[in-house]
Amino acid sequence: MRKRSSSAKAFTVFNYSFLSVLGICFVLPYVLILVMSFTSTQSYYHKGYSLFPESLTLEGYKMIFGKGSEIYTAFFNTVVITVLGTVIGLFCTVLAAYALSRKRLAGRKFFNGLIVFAMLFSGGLIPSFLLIAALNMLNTYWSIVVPGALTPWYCILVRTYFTNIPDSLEESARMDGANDFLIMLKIYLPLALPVVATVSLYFIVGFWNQWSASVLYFDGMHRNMMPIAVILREYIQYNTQGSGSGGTATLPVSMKMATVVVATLPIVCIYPFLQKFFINGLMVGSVKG
Amino acid sequence: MNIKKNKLKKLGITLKNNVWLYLMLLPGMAVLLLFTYGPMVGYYLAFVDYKARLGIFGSPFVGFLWFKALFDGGFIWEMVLNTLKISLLKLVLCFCAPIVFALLINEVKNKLFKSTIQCVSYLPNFISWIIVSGMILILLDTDEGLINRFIVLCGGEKVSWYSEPGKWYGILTISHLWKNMGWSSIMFLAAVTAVDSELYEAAELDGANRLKQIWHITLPGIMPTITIVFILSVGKIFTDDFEQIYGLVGENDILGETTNVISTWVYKLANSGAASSYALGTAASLVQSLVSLLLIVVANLTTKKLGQDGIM
Repeated sequence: MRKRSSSAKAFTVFNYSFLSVLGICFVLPYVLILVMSFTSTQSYYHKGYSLFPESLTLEGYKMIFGKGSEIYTAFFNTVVITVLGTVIGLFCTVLAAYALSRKRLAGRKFFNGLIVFAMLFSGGLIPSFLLIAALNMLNTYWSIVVPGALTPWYCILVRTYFTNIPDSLEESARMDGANDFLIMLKIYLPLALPVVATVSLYFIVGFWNQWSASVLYFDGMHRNMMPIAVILREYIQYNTQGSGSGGTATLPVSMKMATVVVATLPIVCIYPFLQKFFINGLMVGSVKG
Repeated sequence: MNIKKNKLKKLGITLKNNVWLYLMLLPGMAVLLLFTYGPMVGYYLAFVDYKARLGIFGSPFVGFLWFKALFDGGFIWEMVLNTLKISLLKLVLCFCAPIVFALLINEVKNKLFKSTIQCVSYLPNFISWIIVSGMILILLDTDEGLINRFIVLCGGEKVSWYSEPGKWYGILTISHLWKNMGWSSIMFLAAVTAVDSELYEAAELDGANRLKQIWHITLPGIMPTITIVFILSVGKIFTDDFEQIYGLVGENDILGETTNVISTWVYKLANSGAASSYALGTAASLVQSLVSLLLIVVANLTTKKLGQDGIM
């Protein structure tokens, strides 16, 4: 009896300490970024990247919030892309999902098939690029926000949710002469708010973090339209490759890291909601794909 | 004749009754057809001798010429091999770790500690690889990076991480693990909590300790979940993680030996505007998409055979 309880104790101690170390590994990188964003340039040249800098400074934040800083425009661009993308995405996804959840829709199987196949097979990147170019969408926000407006996975999530709401609600509203759009808007949408919240957050995080499409679809002449992630990428890659657009060489490290902080902060702020609703989405998805 | 007419009439009535539904379906389907299925039609580019002024469908047809060039020239093999090596490393390490993590978390009785660990482990899932590249710079910078300073402190030699390709198998795997472990553990954790608690009580009475309980009750209990996740991961083995590789490595050609994969190569072609290589790049994309499709379909059929729901 005694032996068992002591081995259980040892396991508990091991478990808590191991998970604590793991937890620190998860948190430390953010702390490092935060500390470096306040680290003065002298301290950086003297001590390099460090958790305990010699002297602190606000110069990084002063630079990115200073007059004529490109971070303002970049941040604004990211906000515009995120808001536009989420609104358009929700519009397309929720409407289509509702229509697909109605069993009387002729051709329902065909449309569902189109959505599922789009998850399994993707068109080529170069044809996509040529398509965007042919539509005159290069160097516009639309090239970023429209192509992903109907993301199959999100559409399936919302559709499944609508399917699980009883049909009897629809019938009683139909008696009153309401059309399908009004029925969805007034009866089904309020009931589906949890899944709509989940999908909104998926869109927000996706558009906030996107950068590869922007690098591809915006040329150097339209730097003032690029999101913050693209600008940040240039700042960081200067160090890792020793090449890049001229000015970045002299950027103080505090400014680079302050940019990382500014780009990450909004995500961290909405994180409590993210955690709750994302997990909901994951669970709904895993129960019924 | 009459039956046909009736059928048409019936179809007309359904369409008329559901006109609002079709209107609601329209925006989403238009976007999907244009921007997802459009580029699939655009794969025709891989079969022509592309001339920008003629367009994809006006350029002369050349059959499988580009595919031959791709395989005869041999340079697709390096990219395929890199993709497979990185995927396999991730599969071995990043598949087991979340299971162990979920099991350990499940053993924690202190609620505050448990939710704190879960909270910090999920966060990396929500940040972009660009942010991670900033973190990695702090750690791996040759002169000022934390890891090199630590190595020097211990009397070792500086490692120039950004010019040694071999090191990047590890860097890509570990950064992937850091970013995805917490999030991937959620599925397993849900499965673990669903295991019947009476089984544990019975085992307790029989004198089984915690490790034995995990081995004989928890693991068999979550085996179905493990099997599905494993098969689906195997199905994704031919898909490379563009955002990770291009986000962390970018245009760094020194590391290409390890980090050149099809998606980054094609992206560079598209981004540089090298129209003469567009067809070759598209051929490579098509090969990758087709093989990926095949693997995912096989993986799904396998999970269905085992009596589980796949993603389809």
